[in-house]
Formats: sequence, structure tokens, C-alpha cells
Amino acid sequence: MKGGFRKSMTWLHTWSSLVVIWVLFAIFLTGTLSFFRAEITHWMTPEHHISARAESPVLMATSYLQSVAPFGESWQISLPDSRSPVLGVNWLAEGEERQRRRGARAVIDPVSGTAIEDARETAGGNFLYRFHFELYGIPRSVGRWIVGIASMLMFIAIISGVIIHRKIFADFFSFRPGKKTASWVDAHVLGSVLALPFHIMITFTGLFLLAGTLLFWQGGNERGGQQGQNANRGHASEEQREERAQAEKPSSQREIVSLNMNAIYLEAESLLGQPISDITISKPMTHEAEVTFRGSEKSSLSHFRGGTPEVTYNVKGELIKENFPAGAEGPIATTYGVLRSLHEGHFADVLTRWLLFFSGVLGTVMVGSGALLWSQKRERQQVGKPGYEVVSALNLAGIAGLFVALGAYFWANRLVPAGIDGRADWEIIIFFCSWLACILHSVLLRQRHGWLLQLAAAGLMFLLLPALDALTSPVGLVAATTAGDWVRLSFDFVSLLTAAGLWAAAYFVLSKGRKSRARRNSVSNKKGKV
Amino acid sequence: MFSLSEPWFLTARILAATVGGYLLSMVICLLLLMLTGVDGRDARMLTGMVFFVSYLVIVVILFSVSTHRRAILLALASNSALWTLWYFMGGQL
Repeated sequence: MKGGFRKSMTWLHTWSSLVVIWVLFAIFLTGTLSFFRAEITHWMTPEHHISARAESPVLMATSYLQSVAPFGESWQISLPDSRSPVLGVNWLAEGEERQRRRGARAVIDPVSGTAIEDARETAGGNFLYRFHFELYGIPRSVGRWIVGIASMLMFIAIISGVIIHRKIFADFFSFRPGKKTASWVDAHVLGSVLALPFHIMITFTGLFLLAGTLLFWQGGNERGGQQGQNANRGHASEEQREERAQAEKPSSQREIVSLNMNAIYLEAESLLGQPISDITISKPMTHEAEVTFRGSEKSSLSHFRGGTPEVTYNVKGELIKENFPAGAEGPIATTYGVLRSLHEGHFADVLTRWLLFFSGVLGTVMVGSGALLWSQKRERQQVGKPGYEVVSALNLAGIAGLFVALGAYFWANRLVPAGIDGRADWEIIIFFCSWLACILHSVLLRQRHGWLLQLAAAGLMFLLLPALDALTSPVGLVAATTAGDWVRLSFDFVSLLTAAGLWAAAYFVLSKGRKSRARRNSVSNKKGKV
Repeated sequence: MFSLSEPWFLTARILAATVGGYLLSMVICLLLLMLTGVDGRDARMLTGMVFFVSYLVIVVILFSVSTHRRAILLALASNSALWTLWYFMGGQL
């Protein structure tokens, strides 16, 4: 292009990102929240808050199962972990066929040892997770194409952004507050460079996961080769099911046999070398009972969906089966597994998950500040022109409006009555209605304190979320602290941090408005004197 | 950066970079699979890893060339050459 290599790259950086920047902002924000998908779902199911941290969950679960399905075909116990502190059980009643995936399900109240009834239906973290890679309300393949194209443009924008910065690390250490455009450039560089490897990794691996859609000519499948693996897994599990069906033929005689669960639990945990995530007991309370303990599925970065490590004991407490899945075969499959794990963050412990989350926040700052930088640079020359006004309205609705919609989504979770039909859909409807209201407000009234109003409204909703949580959950915040329900409390803490950020932004907008008014007044006074 | 007389050239260059770049990355992946002999699931995984990096590099190159005309010709010439090579090597989609 005319004007040299760096100018060409600046043009490419600006336009490749601007075309889809509001979609990218929504993808980055909801994707960042998806690192805590299970945790958000826990917060959004207040009835389950009472289930946090049972003292002896295995014993509690087995005694509950003994009371509801003493001669069930099988029991399954999902133990609390660092991401979801609830104790869940599933069972198949005697003679019941495996029609439903996991049979009847209940979450145990650790105080009474009974099931928690009438837990609300919620879209939870899953809605945000699915939205970040296939949007909502349009065919999935179309959503994936849109997200894929946006991600490719993002990838181009990141690399061209690195190319145009001659002194990328020197620029990183300069911050010039109160300098209008320069301040926005510094904020954009700060968000970009501080987590640059993360931005490159998350964009590339995101594209890679959408390869099944974007690379349709390769005889594709959704999400990059998963179908083949699922087919294999399906085949294997079909065989396993047949095997299990043979083993689970009704026994001629059933008599109550108790298991020394505590002892075999400890042995299994040391054998697996990791915390146990769930337990399956087939033919419980009989001589034929078998107890299978499974570890956490994806605790390492190089796992490759090879199944879960598991050990099985018989009723005498003897080890009868062990299955430690082999790693990926070959360098391509290993690389695939690592890239996939990196994006999804399944391998991450609590600290790494938080680091991924804050890197995602920086990515969101990078995208948001980039959008605002475009407007800021062109404010004097282009204000009033249609292109500039469209971008300004979309900036407001796409950034502040999305925070309003998210706040409304979490409020809807607590205010929409728990028992109504299609409750999860109502949460989503409220999310989109709030966003639509913000879009209309941005189009019609953005000149009248548009940013201030939307930022303040979102800030207020996030500020009051912990109070709403305390008022609408059966467990108060003090009791949650005592019970160690850090998942829920962390959500409340992040809500307060988000509110602080939104209010700081609102204050910035307010003070900027005052300064420009004062400047205009002083100019008109001078003109009056002349 | 662009004079008003060249919007069509700019549009053609953007198309050359996006569509031409996509086709070029596609043929690079097909040739790579042909040369390495990788197939099945491994082929899909390898393609997923290589395609987006090569697409990125091609787009950056096509936007770094000094004139629109050269960029468009480069996209056409490289696509023609590599697709022809792929065809004569016995390539089939």
C-alpha cells in the first residue's frame, strides 16, 4: 500500500478490528466469564447454596441413596470440588432401564441429609459459554461462522498491532493520563501487551476449535475432529453398556450388604493420585456390588479425552479393575490436545483459572479501548457524520450496554419466580431485552449523558448484586463464609470489583463532560469580551 | 491513505486478501497433507493448526505489498501456481 509498510499495517489493524469489534467485545467478555461457568451456575442456583461443604459427603450420599433406592440398579455420587461445592447423586431404580442418561437426580442438603427440592431452573453459566462461540437465536452454524470470522479478524488485528509498534515494550511503560487520545492509546497498549501471549493463544486456539465449521472443505466436523473421537467413544461405550447389561441382569437373590466405603475411598484416592470427582456403585448393597472411583478428568494440560482414570473395587474391598488412559498418540494429537486444553482451561487449578480470567479481562479492555480509541481519534474531524455516529452508538451499546444486559441477567436470576415454566428462557429474554433497550437508548439519546447513564445503571446493578444474593439465598453471606462457600463469595466479590470499575468509568465520563463545558464557556466568554 | 479514484482497486485487494488468501491457505494445507501423507483425524487436526497461521501470514503479506495491482496479481499468480501444482500431483477434494 502507498505510504509504507507500517502505514499499511496500521490500516489493516484499524479496519480488521473495527468491522467486528462489538461482536469481539461480547465474545471476549462472555468467554472470559466462561472460565467460571460452573461457578456462575452455582451462584445462580441459590437453592443449592445450602449444599456447600458437607462434612462426610460420601457417607451422607450413600445413606440418602440407601433410603431412596436401596436395591437400585446403580448409584452415582458427584462429589463437591473446588468449582462446584454441591453434593449430587443419581440413581437407577431396581429394574429401571438406562433410558435417561443418568437416571433420577438430587442435590443433598448436608444439614438434614435429604434432597433439596424445587431448585430453580437457570440458564446459568452455560448461556454465556455457548453465546461466546455460537451467539444466540440464530442457527448454530451461522453463529459459529460469525464468531470464526470475527476471531480471524482479531488474529490479524493482534499481529498487525504488534508489527506497528516499533517500541512495544517502551510504549508499555508509558502512561499519559489526561492526554485524551494518548491516554486511550496507552490504555489500549497496556491491555494488549500485558497479556499478549494470552491474547494470541486464546484467539488462535479459538479459531482452531472452530476449524470444523470454517474449514468446511476438509470433510469437516464440528469443533475440529471431535466427531471422530466421539464416534470412537460412542462405540466403546456401546460395548461397555452391553458388558454392563450382562453384568446387571437381575440377580436371583438380593440381600443387604454394607460396604466399608471410607477405607476403599482413601485407598482409591491414593491409587489415583488425585481427588476423586465421582463414584459409581453398581448393584449396591448386594454381594455383586462394584464401586468405581473416578479422578478429575482433565487435570493435566496434555490430556486427550482418553477417558477418566478410574479404579474399581468389589464388595470385599479388593481392587478388581483399574483404568489409567494412555495419553494422545503421536505429536499431532498431542499438540491438538494441548491447544484445546489451553483454550478451555479444563486443566487449570484455582490460581491458574483466576490468571486466565484476568488475562481475559485485559483482552476485554484491549478490545473496548480499541473501539473507543477509533472514535476519540476522529472526534474533531468527523463528529456529526453518519459513519462516526454509527460507531459511537455501537460503542455505547456494545460496551456499556452489554454490562447493563449482564447485570439484568443476574438480577433476573433472582427476581423471576422460581417455579414458572421456561424460567431459564426468561433469564435470557431479559438479557436481550435489556441490551435492546440500551441499543435504542444509544441511538436516540446517547448525546444526553448516554455513557454516564448506562455505566451508572450497570454499576448500580453490580454493586447491589451481593445484597440481592444475601436477601434471596437461603444461606446468608456470613453463613456462606463460615461454610467456606468461596465459589459464591468470589462471585459477589467480582461483582463489587466490576461495579467499582463501572463507577470509575462513569466518574471519568462525568469529569470529562465538566471539563469540556468549562472549556466551551471560557472560549465563549473570551469571544464576548472581544 | 487512498485516493478517491481507487475504491474499486481497494475492494479488489480486500477480496484478493480474504478470498484469495483463504484459497491459498487451503491449497497449502492440501499440499502439506499430500507431502506428509497424513490422513484421517490427524489430517483434520494438522489442517486446523496450519491453516489459520498461513492465512494470517498471507493476509499480512498481501496488505504489505506497495500497490493494489501488485497485491492482486500476487494473489492470482500464487493461487494459480499452487492449485496447478496440486492438480498435477493428483490432488482431489
